[in-house]
Amino acid sequence: MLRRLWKKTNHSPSIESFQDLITFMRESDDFKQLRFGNNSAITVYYYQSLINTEKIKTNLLPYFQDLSIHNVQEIKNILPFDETEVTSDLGAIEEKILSGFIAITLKDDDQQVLLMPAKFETDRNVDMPEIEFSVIGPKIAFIEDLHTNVNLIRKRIKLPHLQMKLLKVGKVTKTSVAIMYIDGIANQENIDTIIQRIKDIEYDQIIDSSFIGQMIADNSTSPFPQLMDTERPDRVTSAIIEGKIAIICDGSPHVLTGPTTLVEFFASYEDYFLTWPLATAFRIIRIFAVMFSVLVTPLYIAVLTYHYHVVPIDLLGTIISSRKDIPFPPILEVLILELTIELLREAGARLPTKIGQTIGIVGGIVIGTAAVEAGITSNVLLILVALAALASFTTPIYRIGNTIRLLRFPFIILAQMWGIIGLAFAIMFLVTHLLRLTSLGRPFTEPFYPPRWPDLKDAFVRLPFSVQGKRPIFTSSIDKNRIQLKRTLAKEGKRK
Amino acid sequence: MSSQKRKIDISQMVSPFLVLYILHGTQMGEGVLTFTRRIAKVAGYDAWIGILLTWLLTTIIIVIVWKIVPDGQDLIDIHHSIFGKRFGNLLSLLFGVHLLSLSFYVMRSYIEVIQVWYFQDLSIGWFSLFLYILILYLVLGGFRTVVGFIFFSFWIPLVLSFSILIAFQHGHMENLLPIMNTSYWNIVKSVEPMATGYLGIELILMFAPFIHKFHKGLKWAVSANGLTTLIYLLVALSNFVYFNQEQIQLLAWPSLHVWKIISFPLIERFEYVGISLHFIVIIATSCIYFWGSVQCYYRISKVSFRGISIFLAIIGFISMFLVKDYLMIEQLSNIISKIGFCLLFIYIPFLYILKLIKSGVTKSHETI
Repeated sequence: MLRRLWKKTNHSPSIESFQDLITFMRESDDFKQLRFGNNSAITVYYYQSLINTEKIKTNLLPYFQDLSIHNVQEIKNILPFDETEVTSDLGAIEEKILSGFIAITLKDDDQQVLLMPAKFETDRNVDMPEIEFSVIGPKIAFIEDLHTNVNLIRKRIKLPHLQMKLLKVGKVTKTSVAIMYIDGIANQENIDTIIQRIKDIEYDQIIDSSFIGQMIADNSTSPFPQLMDTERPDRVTSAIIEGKIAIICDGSPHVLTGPTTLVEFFASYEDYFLTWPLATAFRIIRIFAVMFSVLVTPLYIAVLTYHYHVVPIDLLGTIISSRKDIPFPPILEVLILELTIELLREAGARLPTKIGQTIGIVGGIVIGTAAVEAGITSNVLLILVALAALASFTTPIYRIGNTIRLLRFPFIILAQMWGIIGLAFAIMFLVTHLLRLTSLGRPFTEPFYPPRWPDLKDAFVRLPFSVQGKRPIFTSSIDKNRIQLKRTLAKEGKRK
Repeated sequence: MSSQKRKIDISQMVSPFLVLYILHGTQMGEGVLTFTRRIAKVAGYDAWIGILLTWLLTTIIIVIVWKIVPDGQDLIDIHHSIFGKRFGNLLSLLFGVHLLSLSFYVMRSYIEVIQVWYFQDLSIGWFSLFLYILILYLVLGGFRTVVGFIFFSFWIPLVLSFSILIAFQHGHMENLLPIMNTSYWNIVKSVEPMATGYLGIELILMFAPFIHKFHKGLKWAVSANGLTTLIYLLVALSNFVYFNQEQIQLLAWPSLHVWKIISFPLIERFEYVGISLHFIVIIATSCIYFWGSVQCYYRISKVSFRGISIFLAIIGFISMFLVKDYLMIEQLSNIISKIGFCLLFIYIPFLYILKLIKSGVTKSHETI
């Protein structure tokens, strides 16, 4: 592919042989060439920037001393490395050299090329999760290296049925993408859908798993993420065991799993580390927090603009007295404060950590109190907006938090237009949108609609493990039983 | 005219138990707000017996519907087999008009509620534009999305009907006594206005092929009818014990007036919350009727589903401006109630008889 691009742009003669390729690559200054042996019979080519040069010096050079070699196959046989390969296929040679292999040729026979891996690893070490931190439970997160990530998953699932399929995506970046699932649990239709959609991706760069997430989503214009996105290996492991499929992208510390549902985005993995009544309570709190976060400021507008008689007289007094000096209608007041919060959040996310904290304090305390004292916003609204912002942070998955953040603006506009009826409108549009969404062709609002009662055991509530004997229905897993519990066996007999 | 006979996509089909939600959702629309006034006009406080009578009759009709419809067929196929292609299509065309006008009526009458309770100067243009965009968004999502929406709206009247219990606290139970204060004939006559509240049964003829294993849906439809009756009975009794007979005739939406007596620590006037929540129920009802009429025209014409929905939405949008005031809505309601009554209690049994005769004829031909 690169060769074709190069052909178009440079109008140079096409690459016909290995020598042409070398001549072309040598134009880059980090492409090196070393000669060894009698009459420099052995030549080694590599990109200095991709190669661990120590490895060549310490491991390779000793083998090349006083040897009489006639073809590269002999070298291959004496080298104690995996993944060495002898080939004359130009495409393969190009790809390997570009992914950190060194090419070895002999003077007499420059069509046969020996490729040897000597990759220079720059990845960081496995670290603590930063976005989905949990107080209890394992504290380990994925990193940017694909093989480390696969290792983190495979060492948790000790089953030969755990399969990994490697694909190359992106015309220029040629990113490795691994698809992991358990053969015999994951639904074949889901696997085929994912593989087909990834293969169909036509783009030059795949820098992060979120590129794939957006490109293979069922509805790419929706603000809702349609694939789960996590940095926790324990979460991915559990998803794979439930019959979902994980997509791991080289260079990305986030792993996608699918198919997924809306409620899953409100489930923190910590829920499984707590006892089930606690986990259930926290999950319900989280869902209410999100509803509160989306609805509270639109309700403020609706009530204060149109329906002040809905509020009891005592409460109305408090609100009115806090608002009596404000020169703006509720909608402007709300927009000013909401946009300030958004500004703070955006600035806080972009700035370096140390400055970010300072800005947060300056913004939160100074601007907030100053705005109230200056008579731009009311005290009550300041409390509501701050609470709404706080509530939107309770989502365990960062991606859905962003959606929630954006979601309230259409609500605000509709509330200004038609009060509570406008809010009902907004809710209806949202519900319709969610009903129309699918994740890998499976309904996104499951288990509420289509109603699948057994799946409710792990939705709003998280029931004890003893009743979680079955895998969720919506993954359509082949093997539905998690454990051979008596209870589940009896149930299955009844159902079938 | 030829019909578009296409196999229904399995991904658009729904489980038979969802018939409970669909039928209840279609029945529970605008009617619940006004029916007490209409039936009390005919039969006074004894009209609640009329509700039970209507329940009995509609249950029979539901059973007949299940007898008429074979698995995987809808009204258009039945019309074809009984009346032949041309006349059958004409009848289907009229049926589509009925569904569309019901969908329109439910929405338009609720706009009237909103105008009275919320905004006297509501701009119907913008409002109905949003309404039809929402309806289109729903309907173009396919039958499953429509049913999903009904399923979501199903819980609202269920919760709201509890709030109406407060009327029994403040009301006078002795209003209902003595039972049978009016003549038998009046109670029978109250079936006609009551039947409007049970409309939605005829829609089963349209969505039958979308139900997975349709024959299993009968018990769910019967239970839906029972649930609707239960709610109607609750609403009617609460209105009867709270208002006297003359007063109830003066209230346009008696059920909304009952909400006025409820207040919570945070919500002083509950009817504002109630009306906006009931709005969701109204949209669900209107939407399934709209879907029914689009599906009806889609089956008898060669135009795409999308094209018909947009066209019908434009027609609905324009008709919003034609209905000017409350009197016109009342007239429309009377017409629709009459047509609905005939459709349920005359046309559907008539279809069944024709079908029996037809199958009898073909059977005797076969034996000869």
